[in-house]
Amino acid sequence: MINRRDFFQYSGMVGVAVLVGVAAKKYAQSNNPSTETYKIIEALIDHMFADSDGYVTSQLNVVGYFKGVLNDTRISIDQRHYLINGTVWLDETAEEEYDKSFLKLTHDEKERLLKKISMLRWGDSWLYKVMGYYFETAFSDPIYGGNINGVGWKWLAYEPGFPRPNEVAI
Amino acid sequence: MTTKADICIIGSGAGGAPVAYTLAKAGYKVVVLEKGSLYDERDFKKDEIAVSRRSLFTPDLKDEFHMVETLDEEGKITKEGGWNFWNGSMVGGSSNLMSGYFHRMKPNDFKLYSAFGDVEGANVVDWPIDYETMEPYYTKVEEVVGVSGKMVEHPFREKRSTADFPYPPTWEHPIAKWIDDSCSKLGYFAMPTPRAIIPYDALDRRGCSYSNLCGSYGCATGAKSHAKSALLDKAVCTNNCTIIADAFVYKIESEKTEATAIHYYDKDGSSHTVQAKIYILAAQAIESSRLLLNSKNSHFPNGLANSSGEVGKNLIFSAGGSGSGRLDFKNLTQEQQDSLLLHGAFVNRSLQDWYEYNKDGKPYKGGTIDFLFEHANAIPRALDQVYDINGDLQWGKTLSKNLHHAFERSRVITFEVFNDWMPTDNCFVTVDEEEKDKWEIPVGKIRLYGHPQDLKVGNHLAQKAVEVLKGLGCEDISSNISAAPPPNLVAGGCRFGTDPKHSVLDVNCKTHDLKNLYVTDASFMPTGGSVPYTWTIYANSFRVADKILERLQNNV
Ligand SMILES: Cc1cc2nc3c(=O)[nH]c(=O)nc-3n(C[C@H](O)[C@H](O)[C@H](O)COP(=O)(O)OP(=O)(O)OC[C@H]3O[C@@H](n4cnc5c(N)ncnc54)[C@H](O)[C@@H]3O)c2cc1C
Ligand code: SF4
Repeated sequence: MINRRDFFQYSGMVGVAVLVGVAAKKYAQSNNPSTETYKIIEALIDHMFADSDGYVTSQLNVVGYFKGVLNDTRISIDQRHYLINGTVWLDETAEEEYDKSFLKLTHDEKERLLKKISMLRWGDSWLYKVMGYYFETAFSDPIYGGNINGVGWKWLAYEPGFPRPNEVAI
Repeated sequence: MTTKADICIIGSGAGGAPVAYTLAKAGYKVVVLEKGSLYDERDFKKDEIAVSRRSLFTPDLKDEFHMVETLDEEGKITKEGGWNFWNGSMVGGSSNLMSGYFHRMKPNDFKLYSAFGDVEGANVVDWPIDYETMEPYYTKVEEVVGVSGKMVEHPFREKRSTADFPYPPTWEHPIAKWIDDSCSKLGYFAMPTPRAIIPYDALDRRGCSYSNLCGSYGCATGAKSHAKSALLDKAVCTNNCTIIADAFVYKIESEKTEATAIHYYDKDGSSHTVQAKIYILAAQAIESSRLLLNSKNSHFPNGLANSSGEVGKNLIFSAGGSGSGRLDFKNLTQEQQDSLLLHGAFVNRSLQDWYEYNKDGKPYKGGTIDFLFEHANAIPRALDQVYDINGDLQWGKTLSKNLHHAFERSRVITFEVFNDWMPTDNCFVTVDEEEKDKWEIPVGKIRLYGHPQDLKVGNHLAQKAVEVLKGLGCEDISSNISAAPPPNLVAGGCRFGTDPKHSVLDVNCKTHDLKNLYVTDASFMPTGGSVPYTWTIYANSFRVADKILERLQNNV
């Protein structure tokens, strides 16, 4: 686990680059060993977005997309570790506050916990990051494996630019 | 392996391409070395993930990065690594990704010192050439590279040798008329923004398809007047121009008075050499200075062509900033709402009413304001909604409501302010001997500093833009003028001038020190004018190309 403070010092350096010509649906098909990480991300996204437009969230293939993110070498390894570590910190905080895993919290407990961590520097920064990748899931071209059938675009009546990509370029 | 040519150009962007085009057409053998890859129009897709979120067209910062030094209030220097001043590493350079807002510099921009005097703490000088010298080349860019627009009367309209633009404006969004009305009520002269985009098929290129994502994206039609579609493709068609992509130039070799060879690494890390009669450096301002400094040798121990000690000095950016306001559908008629939802068409409106102004009895060089819609990328637009006015994160129903409002029930109009970035002793490029890129070459180290006058002028202009947004009925109006540099609008580092002690380049952008080395990107600019730079970069490169052609034809 990287030190939280170190991450903040490092976060200004975030920059990512991309390899050309990887097979389509890379994101949806990638595997990641930690099932717990994805369960927490899924539960978190469900909580943050299901309240409002849950039907979108459940149709987006959030877990598949986040698996891709955590395997994307164009995202720095520190960023990817940070994303994973945040799930651990979130769960630790749930244990500290409620004596149970984030996955077992009631809706109201999750809400209170998220409010609390969003006031902390790491929590604010990590939740913002998760939301960024959630919006990637929702608004990326469907070839990345999220935004199935353009459901995210339909959600906000968004018109993508054209020509659209026909293969994953990263 | 050594390649031989008449001309070898380092960097294939707006600064290099006009030289390649002019000399290849004149029958000279040109080799262009470009560190980025070759893409064609079929490769340019509106892929927000690849292009914007994963920076497909700039290097991986693990491999290549910049160091940045900033000064705190007590003058203490802080150095940080991992910064990104790359703008577009690809054949055609960052011009592939530009938005194409094009303005000419004005006559007084060429003589800032004479017109406005000294500014304390700044190194303001006049250019060694005037607007009249550059004017035919601005016109050439309009015609050859392709600039669309429409001349209207306004207080700071510059003189032109032709009555109007060769191409009419691109498709304008109905909001352009609203801006015209808001400006005329305020007594301001809104003008159509000239664009480096051709509206219909011409110049062996296709016209604009209004693809909704233009700036930061490659152009799939060739309508954007970037270096590759406008110039390099044509240079290659002459069979006199060879472009070598994925070629990172790491050293220019020289004797005492002339450059003798260029060395580059290919994709696999193998080194190659090119020898030519004339060498052109156009790697964009920061990288050009870096390469000169990294090419030091026994004749030039402080960096190639750096007997003046001026290489890397007086780095400038476009000063100013941006602002925005939201047009909320609740205040608009159905017809207005419907027209605001139209995507793809351009706003195309600018103000130059305060290009020069007086305040408190003192004359100031002001600048340009461009109006545009918020960038159409969805992810930053959504992320803009996640904080409430207290700066607290929000989610659930509140966030969802705000997202629907932002995307479907309102539209954001933004403005950009361009004014002079005062050249100073505190803004420059050096190389960092301790930090190396993946080729083990010292990376560029950038010292950043914005002069207080930059902010003063920027804020003056931003206030005027805010009035226009108010007149439009915008809500949530904000503006952000800061000393943060826009990495894509960068110039300086190898000033041109008549005095070899105080400038790197002569009037024709040849290095004072070496008789066959020229620099034709924006490095030559001692001041930048209050406009984005690219029209001037293209124009100057055409001007220098003519001088080189004259020289070759006369065997000098
Ligand atoms: C998103 C975006 C929007 C923009 N919008 C506008 C606008 O609206 N109006 C405007 O006027 N300008 C705009 N610009 C700026 C414009 O693109 C630049 O001013 C212009 O392209 C600069 O020309 P250049 O030749 O100096 O650099 P570039 O066009 O970037 O070309 C330099 C080339 O040199 C290559 N290179 C660097 N180092 C080496 C090396 N060591 N060896 C080999 N090759 C090397 C680079 O890879 C690059 O391809 C925009 C830029 C961006 C990125
Ligand atoms: S087609 Fe038009 S809008 Fe699209 S990238 Fe090219 S110039 Fe820009």
